[in-house]
Amino acid sequence: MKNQDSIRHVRGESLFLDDFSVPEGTLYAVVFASPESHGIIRGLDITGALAHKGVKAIFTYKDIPGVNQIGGIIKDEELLAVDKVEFTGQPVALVIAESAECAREARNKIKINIEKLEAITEARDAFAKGSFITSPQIFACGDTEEAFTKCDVVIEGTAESGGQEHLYLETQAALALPAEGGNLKIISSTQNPTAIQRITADVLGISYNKIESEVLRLGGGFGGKEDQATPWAVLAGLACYHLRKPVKLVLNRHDDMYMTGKRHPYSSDYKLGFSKEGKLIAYEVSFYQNSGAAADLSTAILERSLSHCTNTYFIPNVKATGYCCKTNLPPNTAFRGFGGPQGMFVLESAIHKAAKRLGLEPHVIQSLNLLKEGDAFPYGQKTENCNAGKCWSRAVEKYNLQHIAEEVSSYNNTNKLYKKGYAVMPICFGISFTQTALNQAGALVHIYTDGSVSISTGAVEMGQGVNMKLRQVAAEIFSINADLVKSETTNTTRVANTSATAASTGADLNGKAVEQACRNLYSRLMIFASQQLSAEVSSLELKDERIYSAGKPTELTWSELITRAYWSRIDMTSHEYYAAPGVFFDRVTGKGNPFAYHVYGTAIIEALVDCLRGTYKIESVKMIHDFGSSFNNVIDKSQAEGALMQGLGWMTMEEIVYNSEGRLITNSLSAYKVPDINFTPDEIDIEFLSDSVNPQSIFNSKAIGEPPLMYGIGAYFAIRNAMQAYRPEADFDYTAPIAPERALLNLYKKAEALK
Amino acid sequence: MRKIIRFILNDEIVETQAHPALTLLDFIRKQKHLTGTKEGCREGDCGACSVILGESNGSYIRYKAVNSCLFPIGDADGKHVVTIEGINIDGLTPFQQALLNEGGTQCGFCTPGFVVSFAAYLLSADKFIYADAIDSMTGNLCRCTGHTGIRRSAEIVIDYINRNWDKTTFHRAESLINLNLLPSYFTAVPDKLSKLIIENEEICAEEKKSCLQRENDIIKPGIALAESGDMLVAERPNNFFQPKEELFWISGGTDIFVQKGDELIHRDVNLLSSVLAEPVITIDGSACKISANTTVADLENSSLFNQILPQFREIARLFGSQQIRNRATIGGNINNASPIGDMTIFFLAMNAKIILGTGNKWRELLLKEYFKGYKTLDRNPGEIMKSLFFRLPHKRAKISFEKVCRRTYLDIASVNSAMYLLTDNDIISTIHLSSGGTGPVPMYLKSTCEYLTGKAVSYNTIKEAARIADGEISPISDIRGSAEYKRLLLRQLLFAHFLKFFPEKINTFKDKNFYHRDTENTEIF
Ligand SMILES: Cc1cc2nc3c(=O)[nH]c(=O)nc-3n(C[C@H](O)[C@H](O)[C@H](O)COP(=O)(O)OP(=O)(O)OC[C@H]3O[C@@H](n4cnc5c(N)ncnc54)[C@H](O)[C@@H]3O)c2cc1C
Ligand code: FES
Ligand code: FES
Repeated sequence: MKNQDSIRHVRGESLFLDDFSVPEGTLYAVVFASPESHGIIRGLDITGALAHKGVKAIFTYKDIPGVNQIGGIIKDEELLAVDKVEFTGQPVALVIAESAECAREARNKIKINIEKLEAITEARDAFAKGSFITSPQIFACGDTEEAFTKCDVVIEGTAESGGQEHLYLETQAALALPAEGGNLKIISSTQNPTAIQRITADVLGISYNKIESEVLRLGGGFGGKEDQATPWAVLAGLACYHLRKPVKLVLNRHDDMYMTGKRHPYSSDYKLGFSKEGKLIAYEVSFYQNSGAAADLSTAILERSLSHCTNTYFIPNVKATGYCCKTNLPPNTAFRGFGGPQGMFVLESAIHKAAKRLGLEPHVIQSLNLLKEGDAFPYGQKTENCNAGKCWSRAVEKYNLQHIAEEVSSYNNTNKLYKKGYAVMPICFGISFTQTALNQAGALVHIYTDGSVSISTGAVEMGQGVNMKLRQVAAEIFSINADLVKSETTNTTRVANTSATAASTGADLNGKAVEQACRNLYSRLMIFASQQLSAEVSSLELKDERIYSAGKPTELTWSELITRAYWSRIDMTSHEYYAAPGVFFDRVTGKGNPFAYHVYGTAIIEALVDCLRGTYKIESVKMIHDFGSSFNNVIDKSQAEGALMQGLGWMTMEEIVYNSEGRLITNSLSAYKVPDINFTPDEIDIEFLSDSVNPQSIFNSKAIGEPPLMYGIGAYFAIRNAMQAYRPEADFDYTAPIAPERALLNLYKKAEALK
Repeated sequence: MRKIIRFILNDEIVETQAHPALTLLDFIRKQKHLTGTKEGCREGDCGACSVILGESNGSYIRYKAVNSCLFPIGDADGKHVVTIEGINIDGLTPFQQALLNEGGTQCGFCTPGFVVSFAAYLLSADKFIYADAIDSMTGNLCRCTGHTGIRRSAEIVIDYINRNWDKTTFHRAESLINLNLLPSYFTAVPDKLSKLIIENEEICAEEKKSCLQRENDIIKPGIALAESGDMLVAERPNNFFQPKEELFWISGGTDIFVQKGDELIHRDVNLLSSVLAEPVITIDGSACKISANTTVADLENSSLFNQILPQFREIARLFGSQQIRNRATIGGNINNASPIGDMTIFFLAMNAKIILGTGNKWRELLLKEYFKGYKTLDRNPGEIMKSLFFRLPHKRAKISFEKVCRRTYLDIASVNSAMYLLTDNDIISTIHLSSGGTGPVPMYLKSTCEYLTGKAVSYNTIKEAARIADGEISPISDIRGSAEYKRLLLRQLLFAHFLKFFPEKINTFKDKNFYHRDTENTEIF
C-alpha cells in the first residue's frame, strides 16, 4: 500500500496548477487591485495599460454579464469594485496579456483616482462606530448574573490574539479553459470547487451545468482556499468567457499576501467567576472579531468561537457574545481552527489570571474543571465518550508533570538571564460543519474490468492525505491492495453539489460516502459470486483479493470476479451519498447538537527564554492526542505535528501588521515569518490515546486537521511563565503573538507602567 | 560577455541566448518545462526553487544549493545545474523514502526543494552531521508538516550514511551513488563539464569582439587582487553615489533580484562574475584581504579565514540560509547599503577598509566612512568595490557579533551589533563597536568607542556606554521593530557583548533599574 501522492511529491512529479502544460495561445491574467483601504472611485484610466504591447484585454465590473457578487454566506462582496473600494487589495480590474510579466508591466500603467474615506482597521474602532457585518450572536447557558454573586472571586480582563497568514506554499491559482457551446472548464487550487462552479455561473449569468470545476491538488490550503480561492478562478473564467481563450491566473506571493484575507484578529473582554478552590462557576465573554470589509465566512467563524469559548471545561453559567466588526482590511477568512483557537485563547488567559489571583498553578484550575461524561456544552450538546480526563491524566502521568515543574523551578533558581516556563494545554474541538446542511457528501466508485478501482468524491487533496485515506477505505471494504485504487481529481461533473473540504471533515464525510458506495458494489458482487459458486451469500467473503466460501479459498480471485461480472452485465459503478446523522443546530436559540463528536487532547509545552535578548525557544511539546482509532498513523501524526507548529507560529513569531491606513506591511516572506526547521522543538512526543472509540466516524477514526493547532496556545503561556520568572513582580497583559519585540519590551517595562 | 550561455542541466547540455539576468527558475520551468522546481516567493525565502550548482575548480566539481529565483542564468554558464529531476533515481532515494515513512511530506509543494537542499548537503559536506544537515535546510520552508518529519528523515539518513559510508571510495558522487542517494550519471559529469568549459572558451575566443567588451564592461576580466591594493584615485567628483540609479551590477544577486525583480531582464546588466577574478582570501602582511565577490559561504568554509576568526562560522549561520550564503557576497552586502547588513556590521567592527574604483583608478576607504546617508554611498558612478581588508585581529582580541530578529535563522536583524575589543588588565585599550538597524546607515559607534577606551570593564561603564550609544543612534519604527524596541535592543546587545567575556564583572542584577527602560532622552517613544 503506497501513498501515491507522497511518492510523486518527493520526486517532484506532483503537478500543481502552475505546472500543468497549458494549451497554445493561453493568456495570462493579473489583477489590478485598490491601492487604498477605503474610498470612492472617481476615475479609472486603463488606456495606457491597454496600449501596452502584448496586452489583450482589460476587464472591469462593466464586463460582468451576470451578477457582480461573490459573497458566500452574505451577498456583500463585489467581484470587481464598482464605485467604491473597502480594502487595499480589492480587485478593480483584470489585465490579460501574452505573459504574466507583460500583464504586470501593463498593470503599472493603470491609473486610479480614489477619493479617500476614513479607514477602520481595528475591531474595537468598528464597534465604537457601529460598523458591523451582521447583528451580534449570543451563546448562553445558566444565569451568569446570578452566578457571579455566588462566586468567591470574580476577575475581569481583556485578551488579544492576532491574525495569521495562511502561507500555503502554493499561491492562489486558476486556469480557465473554453469549451464548446459557451461552456467553461475551470481548474483551480480551491478547497471548494462547487463554489467556483456556482459563483462563476452566477457572475456570467449562465446555468451551473455549463461550468465544470476541477481540482487536482493544492499546495496547502489551511482554510485560505475555502472561500478565497473563488475570486481568482471566477476572474479567470470571466476573461476566458469573453476571449474564448485559455486564461491562467496565478497570484504571485506579493499579490497573494496583500489581496487575500487571513485569520481573524480578536479583541475580547471577559469576566470569570470561580470558587476559592478554582472551580469555574460563571463566564462572560465578548468577542470583537475583526472581520474585514466583507462577510466571507466570518459569521460562521464567530459561531465557532462562541461554541468553543469554554474549550474543554465545564462551566455551568456562560454568556458569550460575538460581534463581527466590519473594518477596511481584506475580508478575513477561514484558517485551521476556524475561530475555535481565538475563543479558547481568551478562557486560557482568564484561567491563567485566575490562577495568579488564587496563588495556584494554572493547571490546578484546568484539571479541576475538565469536562466529564454527560456534561453539557453551552450550546446544549452533552459529551459522549468524553476523553478530556483520560488525555489529561495520561499526559500528567506519562510526562511526569510534577517533575517538569520541579526541573523548571530549579533551573530558574540557578539561572539568572535565562528562564524556563511550562504550560499545560488541554483541548476539545467539535467536528462537523456548524451549518448542518453542509454535512453531506457524495462518492462515485467505479470498478474497471481489470479490477482497478476509481473513486471520486467532493474531497480535495491538499496535503491532508484524504486521497490515501479514501483509497484505504475502498481497499478495506473490497479487501484488495490499495494500489489497485485510485483517487480521482475532484470534479463537479462527477460528484455534484459538494461541500468545501474544510472543518476537518474531508475524510469523515467523504469516507463514509465511499464506504457506502463500496458496500453497494460489494453486495452486488457477492450476489453474483454466490450464483457463480452456487453458495450462500452469507457464507462468502472477499479476502486478500479472493472470494472465500465458508472460510475456504475459491477459484474466484478479485480480477476473475470482476471480469466475469462485467460479462454478466453487472453494474460496477456506484454512487452513494452520506448525510451525517444526528447533527442539528437552532441558530435562534443557540442550542442543538452541532457536532458529530469531539476531539480531545492534552499537551505539555516547555519554553526557554533568553531574558537579555527577549528571544526564546520552544524546547518541547509532549501530547496525548485523541485520534480515535487512526487508520493511517503516518498521515495523522504528521497532521498533528504540522497543526501544532502552525499553532506555535500563531502564538509566537507570526505577526500581521497593517499600517493605520489599512495597508499590509508584512507583505512578503522576508517580513512575515513562520516557523522554520530550526524553530521546531527538539522534542515533540505524540502519543495516540488508547481505547478511543468513535462510532460516529469512518472506521472509528477521528478528524485530525484542526484540533492540534490549539496546543500552540500553550506555548504562549509557557513563554509568559518564563518571563514571569524573570520579573516576578510584573503583571503582563494577555496579548498574542508574543514575538521577540513584545517579549523584550515587556521584560523591561517600568514596573509602574505595567498593568 | 558571451551571447550564448551553455551549461549542463542534469545530464544534458543546454544552450540558450537568454538575457543573462533571466532567472534560472524561469528558464527551468518555462523553457525546459521541468516543473519539479517550484516558485513559492521569488525572494529567496522559501527554498521551493532550490537547485544545485556544480562548479569545476579544475580538479573536481564543487556543489552547492542556490535559490534559482535569484540566480541569473548568465552565471550558470559552464556549470552543472541539478534540479529535482536530476536527483531522482529508479525508485526512491533513502531520503525520499524516509520522507514518505516519517510524514515528511504533505501537500508536496515544498518537498522537491528539501530533497534538493539535502542532496546538495550530501555533495558538499566534509562530515555528515545531523545539525549541519538541518542547517542546510534552513532556507526551505514547509508550511504543512511543521518540519518534524523532515527532521526525522534527515536524522535517519545521516545515520544510514555514517553506518554505510565506504571510506575507500575517493569520489563523493560515487559513494553517494553506491548508497542510492544519487543517480549514476553523476560519474560522467566531470568529463562532460571539462569538455563543455573548453568548448565555451573556444566559442568565446571566436566571438572575442562581441564577448567581454561591451561598452559597460569597465574592468578587464581576471584582475587579481594583489595588483590593485595600493592604487588610489587622485581626484573624484563630490556627488555621492546612489546605487539604485546605477547601471546594474549583479554580484550574488540575492539582493538585487529581490529589489528589482521583473525589471532586470529589460536592463543592461553586468555580472560581476564576468569581470572579477575568482574570489580570494589572502593574508598580506598583517592584513587579511577578501575580494568583493567572496561569498559568506566562501568565508565560512575557508580554513584560512577560520584560523583568523574562529568565531565566524557561528556568526555566518545567522546569515540568511545556506542557499543565500552560497551566493551572497561581501561586496553585495556592503554596496546594497542596507543599514542592517550583517557582514557590513561585522567588518565595521573589524575596522575594515575597502578598495573601490574602475579599470585603472583605485582608492582605499575606511568602511565606516563609506556610508553617507540612507542607501547613499561615497561611490562614484562606474566604480565598483574590488576588495576589503582588515588588520589581523590581535591574539587576545575579543570579538563578538549579536543579532536579534523575529526568527533566529533566515531573517533580517531588528538590530545587530559587533564588537572588537582588546583589554589590558581589564582596561579597554582598543574597541570598535558597530550597530545596524539603528539609523539610516550601518553605524560605527564612534562616541561610544571613544568613551570606552581607557575604561575598566564594569557594570557602570557599560551602562554609561549604552547611554552614549543611545544618543548616537536614530532608529525609526519599521517592519523590523519599533524605534523604542531597537533602542532597548541595542542596550541589551551591548551588555551581551561584554557579558560573554566578563560575566563576573557585570552583575545586571544588582541594579534594580536595569529592568527599567530609561526613556529620558528619547522623545521618539
Ligand atoms: C532570503 C534572504 C535572506 C537574506 N539574509 C540576510 C542576512 O541574514 N543578513 C544580511 O546582511 N543580508 C541578508 N540578505 C541580503 C543579501 O543577501 C545580502 O545583502 C548579500 O550580501 C548581497 O550580496 P549579493 O552578492 O547577493 O548582492 P547583489 O544582489 O548582487 O547586489 C546588491 C547590490 O550591491 C551592488 N554590488 C554588488 N557587488 C558590488 C561590488 N563589488 N561593487 C559595487 N557594487 C556592488 C549591486 O549592484 C547591487 O546594487 C538576505 C537576502 C535574502 C534574499
Ligand atoms: S521561490 Fe522562494 S526561494 Fe525562490
Ligand atoms: S508539504 Fe506542504 S509545504 Fe511542505
